[in-house]
Amino acid sequence: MTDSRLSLIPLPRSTSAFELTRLVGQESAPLELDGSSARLFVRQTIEVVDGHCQTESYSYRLQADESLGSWLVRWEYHRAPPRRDYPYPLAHLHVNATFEGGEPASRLHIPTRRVPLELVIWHLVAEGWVRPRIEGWRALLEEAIQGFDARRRAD
Amino acid sequence: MIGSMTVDETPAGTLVVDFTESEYDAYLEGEVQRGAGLSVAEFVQAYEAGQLDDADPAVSDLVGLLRIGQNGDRAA
Repeated sequence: MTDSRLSLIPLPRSTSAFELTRLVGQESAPLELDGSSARLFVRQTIEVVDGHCQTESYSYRLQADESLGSWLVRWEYHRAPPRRDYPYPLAHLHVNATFEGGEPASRLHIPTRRVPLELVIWHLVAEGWVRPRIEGWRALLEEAIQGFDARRRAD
Repeated sequence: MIGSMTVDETPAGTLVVDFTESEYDAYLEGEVQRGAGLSVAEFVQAYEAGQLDDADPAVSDLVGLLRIGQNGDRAA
């Protein structure tokens, strides 16, 4: 679905924390998507706890183009509330839309369960945002999502 | 290789980018400046004081990047 590659960045002052994102030079950048001018920004922070990877936060952002301002849908998650008075569900979705009366819907933190990146990719393929490169994309993603669910049950 | 940053690759093809401490600090400063127009210190202070908008597309991402609140109590 893309030639863009994610980079794993070990955090220099930690022996167990990592960031995963696409780097272009020394800046993060969204992934290019085959057959589309849309982009997918991906950032995860990960902590290795007792030998397995624990997602500390993620930010998955579908954009119409390279620019942050063109965002369409955002899936976000923090493992712990970032502030004591943080009122929102820790896993949530934003949609860049407007209600019929003109109120922005984009400010809503719509609750979700934790969403694996593979499920976001499934959404992008199914809705035509990106062209898959292999016929068996669905089975591949299903297998990865089953692994995600199994790891969550083991948490 | 750029400066002393090194790039390796896992058998699965994921790039592994090793920054030095100063390179990573510069990377964080660049990301926060680009996303919010603030320094890291200014961003953390403003966020913890409730002065930044949690609905802003850059804010939640940068809060995650800076791991704000993630070293305290875990959510239930």
